[in-house]
Order: sequence, then C-alpha cells, then structure tokens
Amino acid sequence: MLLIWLDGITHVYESGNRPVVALDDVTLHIEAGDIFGVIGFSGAGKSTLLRTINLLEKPSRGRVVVDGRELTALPKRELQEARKRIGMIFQHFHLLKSATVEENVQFPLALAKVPSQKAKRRVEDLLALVGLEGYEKHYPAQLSGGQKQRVAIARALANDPVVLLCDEATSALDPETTQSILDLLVDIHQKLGVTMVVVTHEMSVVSRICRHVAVMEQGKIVEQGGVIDVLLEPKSAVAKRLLGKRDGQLAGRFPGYEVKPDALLCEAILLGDLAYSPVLAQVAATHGVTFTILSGTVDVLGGKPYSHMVLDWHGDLDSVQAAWRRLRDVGAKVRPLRLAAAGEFELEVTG
Amino acid sequence: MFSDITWGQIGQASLETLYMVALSTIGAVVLGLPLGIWLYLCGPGGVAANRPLYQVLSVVVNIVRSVPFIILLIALIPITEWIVGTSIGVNAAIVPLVVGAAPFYARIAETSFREVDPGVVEAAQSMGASIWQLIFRVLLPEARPGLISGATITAVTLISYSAMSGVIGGGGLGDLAVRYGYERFETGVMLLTTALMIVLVEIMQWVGDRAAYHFARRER
Repeated sequence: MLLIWLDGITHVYESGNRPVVALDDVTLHIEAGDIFGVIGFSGAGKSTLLRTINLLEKPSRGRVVVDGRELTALPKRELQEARKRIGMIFQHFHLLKSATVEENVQFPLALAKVPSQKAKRRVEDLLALVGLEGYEKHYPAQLSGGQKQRVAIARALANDPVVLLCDEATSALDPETTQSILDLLVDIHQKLGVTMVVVTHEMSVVSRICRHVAVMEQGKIVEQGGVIDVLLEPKSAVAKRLLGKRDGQLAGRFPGYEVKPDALLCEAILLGDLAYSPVLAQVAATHGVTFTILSGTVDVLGGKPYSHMVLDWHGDLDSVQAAWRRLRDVGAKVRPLRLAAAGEFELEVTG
Repeated sequence: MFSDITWGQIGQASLETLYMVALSTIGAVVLGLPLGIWLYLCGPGGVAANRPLYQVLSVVVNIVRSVPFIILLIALIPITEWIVGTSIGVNAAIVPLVVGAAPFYARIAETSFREVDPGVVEAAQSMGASIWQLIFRVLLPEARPGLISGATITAVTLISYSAMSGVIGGGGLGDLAVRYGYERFETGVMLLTTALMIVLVEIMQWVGDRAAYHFARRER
C-alpha cells in the first residue's frame, strides 16, 4: 500500500535576492511498512525533502499525500491534526529542556488532549520500549546524546504515527551509540511495523537499516531502488562517490603486498546465507587453487548479511577461472579486476 | 540631623515604594509579556512572521521607551485620571510606571523567547501544536529563567523610576530623598533613604536570582 506520495515537488527559496532551487520536480513513492533511506551530500536537498512530508517546508509547487490525505490541500487546523500521526526525530534531538523525560514523552499526548491517566500508562510503555525505565524524572541535560535520542524516539511514537521521519538522527552520535540507535529503530520497526523515512549522509546507515533508498543530488533524485541493488551496483556518479568508489574503479590499498601485473584479481560479493557459508574455501579446495584476501567487509545490507572482498587468486589460469564460474553458479557475484595504476593500487573492473 | 522628618515617615515611604514597585512590576509583566510574545511571533523568523506588523509594534515600543519618564509621568495625567480617578498619589503613580515599564519588559521577554531553541519550536510544530499550545507549553516554560531575570531587572529599574513619582505626589523613598535630602540639603535623610533603596534593590536582585537559578539549574 502506498503511504507517502510526493508529486512533482519543487521548492524554491530566496537567498540574498537570488532564487535557490532546493527541490526540483521531485516525485517519490514510499510504501507502508518500508524503511526508506534518502541519501546525498550536504545541500543535496534531502532534509528539505523530508521536511516536505510533514509540511515543515511548504513546497512552491507539487502535492504531498500521506496516508490517503493530501496535506497540501488541508487548512491549518486539519494539518495540525494530520501532523500528530507523523512522528519526527532530529539530529539535535530538540527536547524541551525545562521538562523531564516523562514530561517530554507526554508532550505530544498533551497536545492531542489524551486523558492524563491513559497518557501516563502510554509514557511508561514508550519508555520501556526505548529502554529508558528509571529515567522518568531526569532532565535532558542529565542524559547522554544516545539517551536524548531515545527520549525523542519515544516522543515521536507517542501518538501511534503512521510514519517516523528521521532527519540525520544519528549524525551527532558516536559510532557505538549510532549502532545502538539503529538497532532500536530496527527493533521498533519489527514490533510496530511503522514506516520510516531516514535521511542521512552516511551510506552505512542506509546499508544497515533501509530496504529502499533514493540518492539525491542538486534537488533531484538521481537514483533509487532496493538497497542491495543500489549499493552493490550503483549507477549514478553520486552513489558511487557516497560508496567510496570511483567510476569503474575500486579504491584499494594493500600496504606491503605486491600485486603482480598478471595477478588474477577479483571482487567477490556474497549475499544472504552465502555470506556466512564456507563456500570460498570449498570452491578453492575443489579446484586446487588458493587465494589471498586483500580487503573485505562483512555487514548487513537491506536486512541481509553480505560480504564484499577483493581476492588475489593463486593457481593456473584455467583452474582459477573454473573456480570463478563455480562461485557464480552458486550465486556469488564475481567480477575480474585489473590493477589500474600500480603505484596507487587502484583496481579496474574489467568484466 | 532629621529636623523635619520622623522614622514613621521613613517607614511609610518604604511601604509606599514597595507597594508601587510591586504593583507596577506586576502590571508591566501582565502587559509586557503578551506584547513580548506578539513581538516574538510576528518578528523575523517567528512562527507567524509578519514584517509590517512587527515594525509597527516595534516602533510603538521604541517610542514609549525613549520618552523620558518624567515627561511620560506628566503626559499620562489625563489617562491616569480616567483609570484611577485622580492624578495624584501613590495609586496614580502606578499607571505611568506600568506604561513606562511594560515595553521595557516586552523587549526583555522577546529576547528570552528568541533564546529558546528554534529546533524545539519546530519539533512542537511537527507534532501538530497550535499557536496557543506553542505559547503555553513550549515558549513560556522554556524561556522561564530569562522571563524571571527580566522581571527582576524591571523591578529594580522601577525603584529608581518611582523616585520621580514625587512630582505627582507619588511618595515613596525616592521622593523623600529628593524633597528632603536634595532640595532641603538634609544630607542625613538623603543618605538614609538612598541606603534603604540600595538594600531594597539588593533584596529584589537576590530573590530574583534565586528564582531564576531554581528553574535554570536543572536545565544545564
């Protein structure tokens, strides 16, 4: 079911008497239950796009439809009502500093005039959900960044939103806290099934939690699709740059390792169950060849495990190529590489 | 040393000053706070930004603030008469004190609201807060320490303003200091009344600071 429909959104604002196009005729569909990532470098328009969904930014042109209601056509009162079902969290948390954790989470319930007994129970449940039991009477100033974001998440979920908008929600946090917040978001998605739209400039955030992703540049969506497709086979130059890849080349540094000009190098990507299987060792043994791992990542992508490696194979050409064919047959992606410039250790994808 | 003056008069004057300052501070806050909220909301970057309206309000506030208090005191006599029924005495002095201090407090309140994190205001809007909910549930609680400090500054300023109210028979310590101490060269009276006013200012500042600290402490 389609939950969010942005139709031909153009956003122009004046900056020093010069019109700046923040969004240029963007159309976007987000399905209910998805975790949808929007990625791009700073100034690409991704935050503006997110803030258009709850009309914190009013587009110059275009329509915004959320959960079957055209928000751009609603009068102010009704828009305020509709916003109660759209949760939002921010990079800098934006908690009320004069209110306790409990009062902060209760805030949207008070706005929606939920009776106080019912609101109290709801606050308890929400604080349990985000793992902040016992912090009810603390003030935001007494909390760490991660804890503040947990309060903000509880607050955003208070009125059972149909969608949770995350605006660079982990960008102000250290890597460990980022991981715990991402885990929490995935956990909440599993428990509540709430749709999430995640704006970030970090590819790792997209790869860890998103199912679909849109890549933005200069106010336009330049590429979108399933996370696995976009991250493993990026088509746009921006997506490649965000992934740290150069066009047709894979940057690699292997200090102290001499890559021979006739080396049999390949990039191997194992997805899903294959990532955790001993398939590489088995195939190598079957064909009587060996390999050296020059670089490698094991991570989760679109909810699935994957591993991504650069391998230098040792053995005769026919056996190595037979091993590559075998790997492709069992479902691995294998692409031969060539050393592009010996001094810089850049690998060029050849096939 | 105190030829023409008794301790009873000094006690009476102290009470008059307290009465005038207390009532006019309350009046200044009651009028100035809504004006400050209005200035903030329609000001640059405000939730209901309205440039022409802001400029009109701003000019009115600046005009009242730039008129010397002694002139305001005289100029407001007809209005005072209409409100209080008389243009002399302590009660009559409260009207110009309020009119003079309200725009002053409005500016302080406006500044306090501007110091509220705009992100928090935006978060409240994203949760569907109406403008009234924004005022009562976000702006007032978040700006509270600044609003309290501002009321203290206003009260202290009103102590010195109230000294001029002697012109319309307002009474109080300042009036005593001017009429007996200054005009009749009774140095003793002048020193004593001035000392009492200093004590009064110290007490008010201390109370105000404590109150502001009480609310700000947990927010740091």
